[in-house]
Amino acid sequence: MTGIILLTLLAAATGALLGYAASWFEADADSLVNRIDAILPQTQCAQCGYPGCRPYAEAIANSQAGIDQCPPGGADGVAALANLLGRDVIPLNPHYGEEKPVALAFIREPECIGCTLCIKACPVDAIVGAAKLMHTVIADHCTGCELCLPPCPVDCIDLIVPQNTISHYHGQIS
Amino acid sequence: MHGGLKLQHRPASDIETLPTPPTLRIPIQQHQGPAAPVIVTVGESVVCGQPLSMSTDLRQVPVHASLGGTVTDISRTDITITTNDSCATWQPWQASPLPNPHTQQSYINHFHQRGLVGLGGACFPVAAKIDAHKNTTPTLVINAAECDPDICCDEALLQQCGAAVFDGVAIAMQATAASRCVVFIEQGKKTDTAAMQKLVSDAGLHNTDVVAVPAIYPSGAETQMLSHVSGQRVARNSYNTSPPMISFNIGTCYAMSQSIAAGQPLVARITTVIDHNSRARNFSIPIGTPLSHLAASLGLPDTTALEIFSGGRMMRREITLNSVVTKSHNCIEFTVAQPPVSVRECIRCGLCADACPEKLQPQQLYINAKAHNESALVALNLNSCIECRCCDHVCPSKLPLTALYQQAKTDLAVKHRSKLDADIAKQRFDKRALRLQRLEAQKADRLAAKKDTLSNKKSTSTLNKKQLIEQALQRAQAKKQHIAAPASPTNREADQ
Repeated sequence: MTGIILLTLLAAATGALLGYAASWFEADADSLVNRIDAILPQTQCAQCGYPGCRPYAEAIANSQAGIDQCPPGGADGVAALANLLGRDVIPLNPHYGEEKPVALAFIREPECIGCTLCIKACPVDAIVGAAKLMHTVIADHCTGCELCLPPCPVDCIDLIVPQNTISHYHGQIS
Repeated sequence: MHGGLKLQHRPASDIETLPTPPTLRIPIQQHQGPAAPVIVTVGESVVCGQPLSMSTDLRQVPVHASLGGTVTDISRTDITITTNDSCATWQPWQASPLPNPHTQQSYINHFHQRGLVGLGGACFPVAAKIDAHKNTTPTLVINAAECDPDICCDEALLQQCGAAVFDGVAIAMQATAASRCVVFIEQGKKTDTAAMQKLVSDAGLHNTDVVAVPAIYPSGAETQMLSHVSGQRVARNSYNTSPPMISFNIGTCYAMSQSIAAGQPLVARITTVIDHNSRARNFSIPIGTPLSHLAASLGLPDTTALEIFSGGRMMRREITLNSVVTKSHNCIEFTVAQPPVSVRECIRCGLCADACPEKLQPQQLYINAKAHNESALVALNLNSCIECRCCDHVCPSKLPLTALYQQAKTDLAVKHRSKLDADIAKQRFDKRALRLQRLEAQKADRLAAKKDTLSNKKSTSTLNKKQLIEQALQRAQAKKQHIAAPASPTNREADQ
């Protein structure tokens, strides 16, 4: 009899402790979103189906989206997310796009009519210009998200893969 | 110094002059830092020592015409000059001399305008280095130890122009406001401690010591030298010692003395050239001389069968025949291409850890570099690696460890850079989102305000209407009464 009472008490105490711990040490949803967001490439390209990297991070944290929807992050990005979330590494879902080298937008300036549509589309304010005046892309700030391409009425925006700018010796491994 | 290798040094030979190169291709950026804007145009004729680019920013070091001639091409990276005067008879461009009295700022400006950079190989801007130590009284360390056993240009310079070098040391002491000077040499050279001390006393230098260390490679590397001189552990890229130390190679000191004595900009450097027979010669080479011209003047046979390296046998990097001699080249080596060595797997012998002068764990670095394990590479201090190749040299499996580390360092730098870019993109995206939100809120406010005024107007006007109607009614009633009133005779009489 004493044993049963002791065990019941022990179970009740442990249950109370665990219940308290669960509410006290509850995983901070915000910090998880921040950590996922830190892995995402911040191109803000919306290829994942969400309007930016942070909304996608929130969706992953809420288990509404998979970790295979970010083509700019590529296989490395999926691997990093899988590592963070303790999931299996899976290939990129081709439905959302292919992994490819970052290409920056470049406006063929003589052809630009100054409609400002690309300026409104750019998620990182990397295009400068005014109505009926030529626009140009600030290459340092362009993330290569391609969001400026569809709105351009005269198709004067090219995507150019930049040359490697790191002037450091690349070791040759034979 | 921990580890290192005892290697046979080359004896120094006399400094020779090259035949005049028909063309020069001068890179606009030869130093650590951004390039200065170009100030000449195509077709312009330039004299020897005339600045081709200029800037007031100390990190943007100007470059100068190494020989007189005509500018025939300016590309994004180089300025090409067709020369018309010979090396033997050049007339340095007459620049303004150092103004009197000599202040530290005047030295800084003078060295900057004359394009002085560290000639030990790293090409750090001299003016920026002095400027960074402006409010201190540093210890000046003069590096007279070769950084590689194959290189003998510094030794040759000491033997032939020792007095001018030590004039430069005196100038460096004044320019840096140094309280003390240490001349760092390796034992077993022709210019030994006694010869050095004679040069020091001839130049009238005070508070100057000569420190000789055993010639163990890479004791001439900057971190190793500063650690030895200060007795403190000096980390690569953050030379924080107390008192602060500022170091110059003797080639840089020579360039300083030339820039003060003759006003001469940095238009030539002394370079050890090793030919295919492994014979080393020292040349004073105008900056921008094409390597093809160098190979032709050495009388090299078929250059296509040769491999070309900059730096000696240890610190070397492969370059092509299309390259030119820049301020950073202390050694250029033409060698017959070697058959590739067969590489075996790491046997974990630990010889590399014994040889590493930075006390790193090359074996762990190797494993983690192969596995692309970046956090482990950072924790193992990969960026402290000075790429001296001691580990390659002792490895019984002939692993190309340093090449692997260089690749891993580059990858880390690229990753770091893209992380910074992503942070900036995130900030810009967030700021844009805030702005759009604010504009939306302002628009909503504006609309609400407009709606408000409209409805107010409406309500006031309806009020007015009611009032008007009421007033009209009142007036009508009053009129009625007024009309009714004349019927009373009292009023009429009163009126009359």
